[in-house]
Amino acid sequence: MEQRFNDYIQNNRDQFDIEEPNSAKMWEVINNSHKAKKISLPVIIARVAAVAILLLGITGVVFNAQLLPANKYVLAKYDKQLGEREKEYVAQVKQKMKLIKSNKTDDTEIVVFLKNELSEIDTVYNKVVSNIGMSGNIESIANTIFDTYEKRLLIMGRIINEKQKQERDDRSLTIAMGTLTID
Amino acid sequence: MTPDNKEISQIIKRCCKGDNSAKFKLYNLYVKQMYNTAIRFFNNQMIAEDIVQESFIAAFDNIKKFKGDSNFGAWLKRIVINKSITEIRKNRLQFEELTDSVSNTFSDNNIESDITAKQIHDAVKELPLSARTILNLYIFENYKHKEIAQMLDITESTSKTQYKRAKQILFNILKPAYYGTEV
Repeated sequence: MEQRFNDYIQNNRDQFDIEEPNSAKMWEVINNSHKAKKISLPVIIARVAAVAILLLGITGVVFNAQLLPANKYVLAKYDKQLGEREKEYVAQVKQKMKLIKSNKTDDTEIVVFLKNELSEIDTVYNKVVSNIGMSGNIESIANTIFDTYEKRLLIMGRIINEKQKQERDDRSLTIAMGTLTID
Repeated sequence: MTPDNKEISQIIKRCCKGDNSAKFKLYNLYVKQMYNTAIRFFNNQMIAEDIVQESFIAAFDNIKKFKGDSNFGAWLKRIVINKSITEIRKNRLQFEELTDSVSNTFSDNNIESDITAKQIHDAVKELPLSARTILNLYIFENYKHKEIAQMLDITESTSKTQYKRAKQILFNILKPAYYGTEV
């Protein structure tokens, strides 16, 4: 019975797009947002120059944040058990990173967004690690470090999920319709 | 008339070059589908409109990253779904694991002749947010429980029990329409 209900919905999927959106109003917002992004050439040149200078300085950092996640062992010298736990997290991160790298699909907007989130977690992680010697409470610092690992693993899971879905879609669509080409 | 893949591919090419009329055309092709996806998640016109607007803005910003050998609608849909999930997670929605004691007395032998798509669509919107989110992802968007668990940071078993609960509530809402009497 359950399958019949699901099949009914999936086989008639288009019929369920019933509600009429306020297209004109929504387009106005979208269109205005793009207009706002169109800025003058001198401003663009100045921004490009500034970004280029900045990139020279931080390329290595960003690269590490997105592709080489925190995988240093910093807790072992303070506490053996915490060190072991850290080691487990690092292993899990490395395993997920391997999966991400093995998927050759291009990064979609969502994946880019998720990678930026990873980068933000790295910033938090680096801040915590840089304070490790200054605090007497190593357990509290360790918990924060583990928390960043938990979050990192969750986001990496979503990236893998997205990339696998993209791969499946690419494959099934290529089989079903042949390939659309865009120069 | 809906354009074929070749025509859509041409429209996307023009979008990549910044052609606003092409963007408008692409928007009109997909806005209804995307809006209905969002409204099924939120049952709130304003939030659904925001999600769809943000999704189109993100899609146009990243359209050069879109690979022509996949389906644009599917790509855009994933942006809408991811933005919806991010919004849902922002509200720290709790997905609790439920006991598996769901019983269905609803028979759907003639579901397609007795219940309209609109009645199902409206009933889905009446579900509690947690149940609605999982039912939408599973039945309407064709995600697997494993994928839903990753997306929502819940266990696979929670996804399954929440889904069963959602179906039970949905059938209870639909019963009067199906049997023609209040149950």
